Amino acid sequence: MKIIDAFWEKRNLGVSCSEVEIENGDLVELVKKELSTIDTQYTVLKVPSGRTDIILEITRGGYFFIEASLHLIHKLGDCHLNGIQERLAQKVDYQLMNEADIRVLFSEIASGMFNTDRISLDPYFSSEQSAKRYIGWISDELDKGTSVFKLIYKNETVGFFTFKDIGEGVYYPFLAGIYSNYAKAGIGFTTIYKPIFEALKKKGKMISTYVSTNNLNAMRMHEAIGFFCDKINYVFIKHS
Amino acid sequence: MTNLEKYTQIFTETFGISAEVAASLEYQQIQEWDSVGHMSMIATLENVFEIMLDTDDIIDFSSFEKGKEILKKYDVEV
Repeated sequence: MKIIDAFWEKRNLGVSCSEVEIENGDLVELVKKELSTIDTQYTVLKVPSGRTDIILEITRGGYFFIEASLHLIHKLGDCHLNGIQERLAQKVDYQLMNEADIRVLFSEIASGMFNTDRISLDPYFSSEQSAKRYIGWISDELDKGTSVFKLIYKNETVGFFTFKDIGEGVYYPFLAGIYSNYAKAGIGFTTIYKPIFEALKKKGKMISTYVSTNNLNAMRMHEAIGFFCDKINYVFIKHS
Repeated sequence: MTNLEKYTQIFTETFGISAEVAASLEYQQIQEWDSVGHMSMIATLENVFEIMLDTDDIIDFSSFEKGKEILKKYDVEV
């Protein structure tokens, strides 16, 4: 198991935070012992699917289930788009964001772009804290050189996607979304399809990403475009 | 079958809802009418009425009622 001091969440959420990743070979007794040493205000615990022995132990210890996190991959070779998606995809272009675009993006996020993440769904937190966390996350990634693209339809920015190079031809679009004016336009799939297109342009091998089971729409879109699930983690939280 | 019946049936069968619910339905009002459901519904609509919607119309198709207005542009009276 790994215990990570998620110090950045102090800035994002205003609480001290530990993120714990349980690995498949971890023994229940060891997990129990290690968890007892954690004294942060907010703890996030990721347990691989199938480890019901650990799940039973941690729920006894006051951890609550908040979501399942699906690790999805796309090997780029086989991208399904139906005729209508293809027509729409051809009309939606994308471009690297400049500073002004980033300001617009942050304003869209601040106005409540996301509502299915574990922060906005947690009554201990608020949608404002969730937005602050996403803005902090993107800012940190921009500092590390991660690309953020805007999606353009008829000269208007309709959404965005992040595009992080995690090495060996693998790209991780950790966040994407459609802006409020186009949220009901049925073009959400372009936030998933365009990163595939960009990865192909860069001669990449794979897209790797995570989707929460609280976001059924995103799961359905990924499946429709040819992603498959290769790992599931159950995510538990505890406030102290 | 009238055009209205055909149009309603596209909604009831794509989204698994009753005709009453369909009549006042808006995009994302139910989980089934998301981005994936939207494409599926538009594909059926194009097949049934033998039309090809412009991308602007696919994007503007935000409710059962709005869809009726859009279809008029393609000489489909619902």
